[in-house]
Amino acid sequence: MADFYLDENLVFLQAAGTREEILREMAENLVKEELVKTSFVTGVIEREKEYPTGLPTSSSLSVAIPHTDIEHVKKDAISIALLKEPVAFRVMGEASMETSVSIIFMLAMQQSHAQLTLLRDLMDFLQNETTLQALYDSKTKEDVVKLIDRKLSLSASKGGDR
Amino acid sequence: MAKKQVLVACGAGIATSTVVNSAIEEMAKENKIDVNLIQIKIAEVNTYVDTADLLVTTAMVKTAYPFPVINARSFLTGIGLEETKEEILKELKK
Repeated sequence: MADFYLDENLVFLQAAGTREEILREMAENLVKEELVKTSFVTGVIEREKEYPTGLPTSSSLSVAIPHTDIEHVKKDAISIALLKEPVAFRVMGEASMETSVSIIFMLAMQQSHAQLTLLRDLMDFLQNETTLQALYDSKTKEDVVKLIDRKLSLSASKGGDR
Repeated sequence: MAKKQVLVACGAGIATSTVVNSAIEEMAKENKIDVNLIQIKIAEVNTYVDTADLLVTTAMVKTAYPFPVINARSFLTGIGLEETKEEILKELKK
């Protein structure tokens, strides 16, 4: 399995703004960290409009998993934002349904059909109310990285030592 | 019974379809059904319009196709998963 990158620089606490502002902030940060190309920013924002990624969960915390085409990505990475106030995202696969998203997992992936383990772990994570709430209640970026590192198969995660 | 061609599609063809694809693969194996799974972007469905038996997708479908379309979001959220699995199995067993 390819390595998936996450460190504290990719974590946003108390993120605020419109949907597009937050997506832009996360994406531009991935550019700054040299994990994606500059085209990723427009790519992920436009993709969200055409193929929304909001996911209602069994808990009160909805999530979104924005991502875009592989050609915009330099290195597999995941960026996480905990939103100060929920922000409306359209629900994946629905024409008009919206969900109030509290946590965003922005995925940068450079290969098709890969990262099955990571993705399955992520979906398991989303289906567990307790861990999802624990993530949302994280007080520091370090806590976020530690929790995600423990739950997801991020073999290259270097929580905090960069 | 002829081997069914099942399209598994999402917007980018990289993330959610990967999860759904592997879930259907397992499901087919458990039920001893031989399927031909093809993981694609939703925009590529047209290429398979004459050969596919079923489309399972997390993306919204705006076009009418000659085969059934099943929404696969439950594979990601876990909400309504058993119903979706049953729906898919029913199509695979046809």
